[in-house]
Amino acid sequence: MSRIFNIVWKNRNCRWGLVILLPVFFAGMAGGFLAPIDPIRQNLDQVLQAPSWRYLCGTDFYGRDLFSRLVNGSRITLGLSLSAALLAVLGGTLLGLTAGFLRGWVDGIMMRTVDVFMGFPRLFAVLLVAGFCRTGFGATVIVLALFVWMETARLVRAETLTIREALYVKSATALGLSKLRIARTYIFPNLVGTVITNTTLLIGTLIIIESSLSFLGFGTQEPAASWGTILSQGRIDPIGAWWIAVFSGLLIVITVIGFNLLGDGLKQLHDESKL
Amino acid sequence: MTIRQPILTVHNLNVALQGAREILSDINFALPTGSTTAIIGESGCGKTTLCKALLGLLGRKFLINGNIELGNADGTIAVIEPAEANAFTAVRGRRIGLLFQETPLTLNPLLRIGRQIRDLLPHPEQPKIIHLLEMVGFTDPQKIINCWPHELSGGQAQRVGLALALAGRPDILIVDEPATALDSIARRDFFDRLRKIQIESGLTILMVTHDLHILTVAADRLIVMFAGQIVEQGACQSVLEQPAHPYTRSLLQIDRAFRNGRWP
Amino acid sequence: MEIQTTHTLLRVNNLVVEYQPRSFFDQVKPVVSRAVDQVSFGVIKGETLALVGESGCGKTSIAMAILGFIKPAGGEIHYDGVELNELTIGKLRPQIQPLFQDSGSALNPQMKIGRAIGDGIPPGLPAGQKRIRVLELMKNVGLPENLYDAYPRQMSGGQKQRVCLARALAVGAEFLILDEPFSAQDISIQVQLMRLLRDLKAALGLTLLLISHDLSTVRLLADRILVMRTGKIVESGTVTDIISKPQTDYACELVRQAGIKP
Repeated sequence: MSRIFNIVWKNRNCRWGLVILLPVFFAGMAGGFLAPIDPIRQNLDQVLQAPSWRYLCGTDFYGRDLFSRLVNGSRITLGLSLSAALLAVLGGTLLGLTAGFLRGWVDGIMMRTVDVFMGFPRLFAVLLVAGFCRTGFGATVIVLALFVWMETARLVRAETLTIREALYVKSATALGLSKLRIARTYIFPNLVGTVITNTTLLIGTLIIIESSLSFLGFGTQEPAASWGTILSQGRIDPIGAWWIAVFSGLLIVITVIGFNLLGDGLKQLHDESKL
Repeated sequence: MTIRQPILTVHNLNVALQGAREILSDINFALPTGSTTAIIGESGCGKTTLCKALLGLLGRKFLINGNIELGNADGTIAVIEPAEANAFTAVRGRRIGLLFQETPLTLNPLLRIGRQIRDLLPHPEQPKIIHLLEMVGFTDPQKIINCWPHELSGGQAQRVGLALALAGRPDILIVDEPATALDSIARRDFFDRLRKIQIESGLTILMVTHDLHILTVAADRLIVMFAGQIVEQGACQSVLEQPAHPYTRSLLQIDRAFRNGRWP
Repeated sequence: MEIQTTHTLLRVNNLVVEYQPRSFFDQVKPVVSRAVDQVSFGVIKGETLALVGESGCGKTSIAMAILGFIKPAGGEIHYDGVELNELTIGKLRPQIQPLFQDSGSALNPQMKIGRAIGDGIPPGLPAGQKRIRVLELMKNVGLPENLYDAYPRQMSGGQKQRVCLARALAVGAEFLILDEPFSAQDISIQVQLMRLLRDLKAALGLTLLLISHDLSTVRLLADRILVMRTGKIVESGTVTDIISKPQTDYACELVRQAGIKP
């Protein structure tokens, strides 16, 4: 385990990615310890205070401490994004692997499904879903996953098509192993590297999507607030109460950059190991 | 026998993998100008690592000590410190050309052969490309120029690889197992061609091979490697007739047995 | 070794394999040549038959067709009396095992070799017994026990080839197709592998189809030789016949270039 960590840390992209992400994660986990002020508690005589030692990021329109809100928001944003990423990757991998391995009509149906999903205009889909589904953690995760699973499916399918032509897969076929066995033990383990790197990059995308949804008012509802929700509150007085938009926006951007760096670094390591 | 000024001299070369064992120790040898030197040794003894070290192709994970001296045309000597990152940029392709076993596989599948050669020439001109292809033995260079890599046979691809290696007009050519994948006829043709080019242009060749049969016709000098060290070197004929090291002796014994149809 | 019966294990009749188009351009312009052009031969149970010829003459295509990885454009292949096609290949697969030139690519890079060999063992054996069997096979092919948990990338070429051999034995193969199995190693390793093959064949009564361009190894291992050129068989005969009295110009040239004394 520590050997893996060493290898990852040596890669410059990964290192910076982790430097950015680990504090964010740590802060989210620490939660109450780090931000003792209750994020929900309104304090109407402290409305719209600029950042100070007491309120590190200032307060919002209800006098709530922004710092605590952001720390709490990280749990929501990251929780939603990571869960959705997991779901999307699981579904996409299963579908892509099956399509690439079995080919024929199975491949045809699955890929046409992917095409349908990709063809759907996202905003329309959002409105449709928002209209019909109840909001809530589970529902949001599913909606988010539905936005991005296609990319993974295509990637995994392409990788599978390549791997199945490899000599070791042919040798396994020659042994008389069942197709399921070959897919499980010969193809899947050789996909894992690609899938992990893809997932990491996906998380960045999901954070943006989640933030956008919340920004538009469709995602997380008050009083639970994700960074996107907070960002949308910053719209009201972007110059006067600049701290709301700036801090939440910065957090989103930096975290996405962190995941992208980590993902790029992992991809580099994976490509190097293949040579 | 005239003593030729060595064009390449390697002094005390040591190569180790960071944090792990030594791959090459105390490598010392010289290549006389215009000669062919063959390196033989079992797989894993460091032959390929040596070739890569001479061209600065080992990655950052390798620790390299020692130096390499290249003789220039005006009589001066250029010293290369292999440990330096940019030490080899002027050398690769210009002074030392390279042909690896996988070289034909590294041809860009999306470009025609002529284009790929042209990209390597300092002054790209059609007659030069044709001359290069004729030099490596193509009787119809125009046809090859218009070919795609996948249309070439193994032997043809290997000759194109040779043409690419010679495009920069190097003084020294390093070939690493260039003919292992070819059958005996194509292999013989390849080495004959190489010899011809050497006679015409005074090329110095360093050749890694495990084909003993070809040595007697293709090499002037022989270096035998074992476990990262040079255990024997000298004129090819003398080493083969009077091998000093047990490894050389066993190789020769196996080869002799094969030739006579017996089990070694 | 005397061949007791003349039971033909593998029968190839008028096999035709066409070049697989590898790019869009291949499909656009007319491709005339066939990789394998009306080839017929038989392999007797217990013998070692060698297919010899220059690279690209179709030897590997024949092997791939027998293994069921290429669909022939014409002709038929019979194994032990049964015609090989999509329906029958599944059941017959375990008995016909390949050994490729690039042993490294033939092994799953993410799988420890103990497990890779174990994959050949028919299901039903409890885990403990399976391990014992794998270790036994490893011993038979000359692999040290401690490599059980090693990955292919941690092993030498010769060792990887032994792993592939052990895997073929694990599944109970009686017919081995060897496609240039030795040429990637230097001759000291080649000799060890050749000896191993010779001994295993004698002990287990295997039948071998050896594809090689190296006449000196073929001479020691094979009983009969088929000489191929551009998809056709140009000469066939026993090893001694071909090496001492080659009939066709091409065979003569091959013998001469191999540098062997008849």
